[in-house]
Amino acid sequence: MNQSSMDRPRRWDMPFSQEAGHDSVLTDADIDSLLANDAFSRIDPAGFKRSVPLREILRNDVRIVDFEQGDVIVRQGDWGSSAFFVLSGAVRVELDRGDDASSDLIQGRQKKPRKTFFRSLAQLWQNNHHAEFRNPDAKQSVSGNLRSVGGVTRVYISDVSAVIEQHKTARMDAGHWFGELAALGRTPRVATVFADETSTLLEIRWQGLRDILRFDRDQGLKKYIEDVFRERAMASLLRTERLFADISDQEMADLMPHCRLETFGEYDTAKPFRELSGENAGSVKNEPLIAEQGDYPNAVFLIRSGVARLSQKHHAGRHTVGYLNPGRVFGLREVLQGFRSGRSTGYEARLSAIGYLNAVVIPASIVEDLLRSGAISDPEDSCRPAVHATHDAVDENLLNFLVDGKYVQGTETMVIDMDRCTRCDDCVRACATTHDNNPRFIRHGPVSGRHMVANACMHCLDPVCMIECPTGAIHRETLGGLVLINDQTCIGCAQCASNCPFDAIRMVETRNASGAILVDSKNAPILEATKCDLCHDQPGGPACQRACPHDALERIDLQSLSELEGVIAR
Amino acid sequence: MTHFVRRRITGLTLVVVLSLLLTAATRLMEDNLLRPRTWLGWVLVVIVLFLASYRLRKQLAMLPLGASAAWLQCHIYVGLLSAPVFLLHTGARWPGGGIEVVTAVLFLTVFCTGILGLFLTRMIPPRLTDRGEEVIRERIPVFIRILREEAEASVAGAKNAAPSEVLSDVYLNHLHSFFQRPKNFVSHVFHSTKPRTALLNALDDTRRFLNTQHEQTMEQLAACVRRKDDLDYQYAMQSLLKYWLFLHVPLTWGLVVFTCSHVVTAMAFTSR
Repeated sequence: MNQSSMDRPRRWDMPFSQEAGHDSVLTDADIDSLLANDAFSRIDPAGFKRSVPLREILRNDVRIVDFEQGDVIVRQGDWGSSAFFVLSGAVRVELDRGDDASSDLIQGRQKKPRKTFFRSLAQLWQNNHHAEFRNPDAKQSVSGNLRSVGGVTRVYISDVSAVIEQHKTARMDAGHWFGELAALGRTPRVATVFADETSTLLEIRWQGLRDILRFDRDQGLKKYIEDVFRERAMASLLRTERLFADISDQEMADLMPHCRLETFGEYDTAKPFRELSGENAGSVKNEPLIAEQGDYPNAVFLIRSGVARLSQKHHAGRHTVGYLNPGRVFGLREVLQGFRSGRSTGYEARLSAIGYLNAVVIPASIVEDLLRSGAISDPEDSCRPAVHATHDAVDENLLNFLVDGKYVQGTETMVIDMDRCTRCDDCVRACATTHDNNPRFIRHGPVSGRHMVANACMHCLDPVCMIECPTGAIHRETLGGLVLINDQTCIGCAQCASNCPFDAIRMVETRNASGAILVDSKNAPILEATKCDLCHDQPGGPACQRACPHDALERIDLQSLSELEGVIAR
Repeated sequence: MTHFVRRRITGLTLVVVLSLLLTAATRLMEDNLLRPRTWLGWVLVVIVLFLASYRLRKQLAMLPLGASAAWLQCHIYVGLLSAPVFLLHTGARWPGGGIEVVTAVLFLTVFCTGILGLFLTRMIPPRLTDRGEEVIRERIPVFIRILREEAEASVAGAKNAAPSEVLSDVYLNHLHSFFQRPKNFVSHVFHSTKPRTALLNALDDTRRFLNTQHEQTMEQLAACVRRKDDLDYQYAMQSLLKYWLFLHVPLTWGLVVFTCSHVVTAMAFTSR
């Protein structure tokens, strides 16, 4: 067999400062200057592991980025994988959380109004005869708000003062962090931030931030981030769990200092997600352990982002018995049972992160104290199973298939019952009719038993496709959570298509009205990312599902198995 | 009882009940010296137009006209109901006029192809799931070409290593035409594995003339044959699922045209 040798890839082969169009290298002088900055000056380098020294973290996981006035730094709704620190200048945070069009314009997005009955009907004769028709003029008008800086495309606001006048904003001067919660939790950015003046920002990769939090003896940054999280998000997250929903503000304030925000597993943008979908699929032992089956239940885990697998020991191996999505709790049942009986029972299953997980950890002793003091009451149905997979309809093979393939991320997963599907392609034709004669999915995909998960966008809970989109063209709808692509601001960089672990995004060559392929000045075709938009602008919802004559195709929210069970048990 | 079984029972019960009610109404009208056949004729016209409109629903996929699956269920059960209505309308006798004969023939053919389609769409999909890899029908010729190239490469490769006329002969005599295009359509439709077994046996018979290295090549060829046969099966079954519509749909439009003609002539010559 032919072999060729190469250096084993290492974590810092590609410093952050040289990634994706950034080609500045941090010099020793730059690092010295950063270490002297307030952000890092209180951190004791001696606490860091020799293999991960603070200096190397700064050299490799940090980059210094200059922004012109009006440059959009992060957009509301984007998925974050890095945090920012304002070194000089100032930025503005848009505080309007409204759903208004001007805000979306700033973010390079476009809202399509829902079509009326007659406009839908008109698609019959108005659809273009050529595949992937785009109006070049419409694209040009929007690209006026894009600028290229050292190979990186940025959206900018041309009239900053008007935006400040029309929107509620807050100014953040040098010395402030932002974006850290989204980066650590891999959750959407909650606000749009743009440069208020010419500013220099430090941008740190998620991994670097994690290591600083881990090894900083002073715990200053960790404390800062946890304080920010407690102040902004923890109470509302805790209240999503029924047990804490009704406790008083004072009791919540007493509870929060004991809760920890913890991150398990790894992610390097979308890479581990893809890798896990490939060679490591189904390998529970490779997943970062969070809690072991049978261990004393000393904490309750409230999942904030990511997906966790529940597995139980079975002879020499383990079988998957369920999965937990954001908002779900692990360990509460065991803690309550222990409290009730006075005897501790171990965790019923092993909890492991599928790639990556961010959770709030509530010490069991605190929950017991709250129960004892009567602040919370032991609910009658507290025995609802944490292990929620002893389903009759969903067999273990299907469950493994869904968890190993990470399809449990899907909120609109296209599941086709192949025992009912007559391969008539009515679904594909309906999709094409509602998308200007261009189908937005392929009736093909991995199959388990009689169920196929087609290569159609699943509108994931954690849409890794959105990471690294330079213009914010791929975004999550503010209401409803659909992941959409704005044709007019997509620059065809294919970042989303290569990040999507499910091959649900296709890059297409665009054409003008006469069918000629649009090309740039170098004669290279103008590409655009396309994918299922769940017919969000059509009356009646997804055409594919409505067009299936045999009840074979369903769009299923896999955040719980009940919807899938309902479909299987028909 | 699953949702689908419940739905099937409900639909069939409705068809039986409505058929009985229509029969009773016809008898009642006849007893009262009324003319139920004209009335039943209009019912049949409405039914035929409704059944034909399903095609339009499919074309108007962009409109919120209800799920296609719900339409199909109505299509099936109204289609079943059309048979007793037709019998009541004709008085279970063969019609006399030219237009009437053609209309009746078309009606019965459309009805039978509908029943055939229902049978095929319920029977074939599970078989497709059970055998071979899931493939899109239009891509099957591409996969066949890839398999043919693989098979030819293995024969040619073995030839380079140590020439074997046996392998070349086997390929030319048995496999060359097999790998050209989808084969054995009829056998696959009837679920017969005879051609596959015969081909594999023919390959097996030549083993005694081969050395170890060429035997391995023969194994590869046999694997290619099995994969090609699975592709042929997918092609045949998926084709069948499509082809029955080439009968059902055009005949339906023919039926609509002749039904209209029949209505016009019937109205023109009906005495008041």
